[in-house]
Amino acid sequence: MPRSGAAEAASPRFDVATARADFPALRQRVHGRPLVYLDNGATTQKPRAVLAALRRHYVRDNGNVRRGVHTLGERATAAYEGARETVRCFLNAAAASEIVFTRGTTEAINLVAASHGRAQLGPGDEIVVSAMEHHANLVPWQMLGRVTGAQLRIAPVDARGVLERDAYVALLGPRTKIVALAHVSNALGTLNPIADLVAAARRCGAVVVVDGAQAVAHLPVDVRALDCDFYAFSGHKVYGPTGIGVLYGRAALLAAMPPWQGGGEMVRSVTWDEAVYDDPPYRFEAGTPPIAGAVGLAAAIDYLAGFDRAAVGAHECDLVRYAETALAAVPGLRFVGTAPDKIGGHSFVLAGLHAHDVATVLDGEGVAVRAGHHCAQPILRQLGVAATVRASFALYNTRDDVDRLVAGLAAARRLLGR
Amino acid sequence: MTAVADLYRAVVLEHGKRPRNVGRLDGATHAADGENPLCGDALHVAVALDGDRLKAVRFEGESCLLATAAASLMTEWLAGRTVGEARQLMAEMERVCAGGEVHEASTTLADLRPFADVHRHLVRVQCALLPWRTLQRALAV
Repeated sequence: MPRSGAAEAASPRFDVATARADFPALRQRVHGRPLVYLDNGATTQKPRAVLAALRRHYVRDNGNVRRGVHTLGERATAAYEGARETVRCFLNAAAASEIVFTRGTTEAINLVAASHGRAQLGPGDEIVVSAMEHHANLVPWQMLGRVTGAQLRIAPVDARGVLERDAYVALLGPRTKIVALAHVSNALGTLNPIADLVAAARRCGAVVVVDGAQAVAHLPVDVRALDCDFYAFSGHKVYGPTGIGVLYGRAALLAAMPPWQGGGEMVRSVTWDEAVYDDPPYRFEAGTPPIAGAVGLAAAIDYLAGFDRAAVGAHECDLVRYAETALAAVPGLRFVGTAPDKIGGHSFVLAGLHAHDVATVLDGEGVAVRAGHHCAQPILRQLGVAATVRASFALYNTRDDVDRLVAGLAAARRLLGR
Repeated sequence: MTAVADLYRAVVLEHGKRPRNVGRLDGATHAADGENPLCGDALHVAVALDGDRLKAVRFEGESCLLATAAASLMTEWLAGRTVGEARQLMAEMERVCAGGEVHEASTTLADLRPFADVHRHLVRVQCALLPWRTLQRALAV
């Protein structure tokens, strides 16, 4: 087993100890043990900078956006639109108007399905998704298929959790209208060769939706380089608050899309009979948006931008590799998802032990992991498991955290083993 | 580790690791399938009713240690009981898993103390109740 400590102190460009100090939630004990938080795929902890931005917004700048002519309303609007520009820069989108704020990834994907999908798809059309999708990138397309008569096609994934590229390409054709793919699998950790997959889909004229929920915290994302049509992510998985998410949409597509929710903020003028809709992104932001959430997300993005992201990526890569070696040495442990390109963490099962029982024992040791089907039931069923334990990393995790996980697994085997 | 030790008391560990009354029930009159949407656990519970009396209860499926132990204990407790007693115990189990005290009275039917700490683990309440809720549906048919 690799020795902990030395290697992670070696990076001169990223100091994990300093970063950890930015996250107050990490400095607590759970069941008497210092918290080891390895459920970052579900949600990350928040740095002080984000907490301060939320507080500042509510203490000083709280007003509604794009309405009030008073000072607080103007401050709130400036902060909200400033956050849009921060996100634009984060994704390297061409224009801030291509950034739509949503409640999260799920709502972003539902927006595309309900607006673009219902307007453009009909019987005979096809929607292609991969077999490793989170329910959020599967169920909206099932629903769209039911409403429009379009057919859902599933691109297969092999036993390692790698998308079968040839079979995927073979599914693409003139009928393919939408292709929806995860950038990184939440259940398996697979990093998809997304630019290549997007290019193949675009060659046959499909609109491509990328679920980036598990990617943005770990990788720099450039939507123009990826050449995707839509890219969705959640703020709370990238050190921001819950309740805020982002849909990037190519300007020409957004301009052609009908609204999906009606209300205030998304209209220019309204009579008893009809309304003239506003331009994107406002057309897709009916009602008061999550203003504080957007402010918090911008603070999270700024926080992340304060690091050398390549160094953070190298640190997280080291954790994934170190954990792979350490976990492989645990008797009876089987990885679920063994793609050569993995990011963010590991999913696994212990022979004879149920994931929920393991997670409960780990919690008793102060180690937080996710147990369950990770909202990806079809792929886990295909891989022959109902539930897995998932340990997922953030920039503040250390090799010591992995060692605590491994010790916790030994405790679980002692208590629960037959 | 105390909280976890409380959840996995000796009797739960014992029944969870070596469950009783597992498998198909010949002569079953009532049955239902139950699922825990959180983890995909699935249990099949079958009952052989003789008039108002549960002659036998068996279960099978895939479940965590806690649900397995709850199912195993349930089958032992209910064998020979009336439907009315089964419903009473079911209600007691729901109450105890919601954090209710384990009354002396409840121990006349069964000793529910092994489940007294389930309520401290909110997500696991569904595990302990999965067999009972499945039984409830089986008897409702």
